[in-house]
Amino acid sequence: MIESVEAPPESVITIPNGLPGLPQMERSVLLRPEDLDPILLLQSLSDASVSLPVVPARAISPDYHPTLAPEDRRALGLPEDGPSPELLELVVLVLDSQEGVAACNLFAPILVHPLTRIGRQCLQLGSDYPSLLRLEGL
Amino acid sequence: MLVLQRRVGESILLGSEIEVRILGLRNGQVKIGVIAPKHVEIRRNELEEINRRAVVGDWRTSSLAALAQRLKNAGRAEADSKPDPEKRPAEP
Repeated sequence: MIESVEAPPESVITIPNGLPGLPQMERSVLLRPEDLDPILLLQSLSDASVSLPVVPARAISPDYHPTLAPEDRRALGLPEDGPSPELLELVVLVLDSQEGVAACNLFAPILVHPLTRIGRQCLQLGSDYPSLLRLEGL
Repeated sequence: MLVLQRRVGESILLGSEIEVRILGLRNGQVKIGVIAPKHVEIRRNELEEINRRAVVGDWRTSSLAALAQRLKNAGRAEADSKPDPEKRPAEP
């Protein structure tokens, strides 16, 4: 377990109010442990014991295209229409200790603005993306 | 726990400001509409549970490394299966 985390300001990801169920994620950094590539760890800066495994969405599904609701665009500081910068798309991984399987949450990706480093978990309402897609085929 | 039975289109009131209406049933899922003041936060409990379950503990590190290797292998296999645009088909 990580005991303390220090990060340069430009690397800090700010998620206003944190993630649902994890308010500690209001300020976090992406760690890239070599042995976990392509998995990244979204590490809370306020609670060193809270770290969330995520993976770039394209590593799970090259055809994954999350959509943004107007409130998502506002929260991420994006224009209501017109071109937007390419967002960092992260998918949360869940390991089930009892069943020994992994799953990922395609219903609620964490999207991060590449310049402002503001992030938000954006729900894919009305889509068929599952909140727990089992990664059995891997 | 208070248990109530409602039909589609019926609703319940929570206090004087919040209405929860049953909008429909399909494939074992219930569609619910909530009318509430803006200051009332409406949260999806299952999403919070998934996020909390995902938090890494010490015991998971080896499992994550194994999953990372599988993801990497799957990515390589996919890249190998795609035709290389630089390669031309062999001349007959």
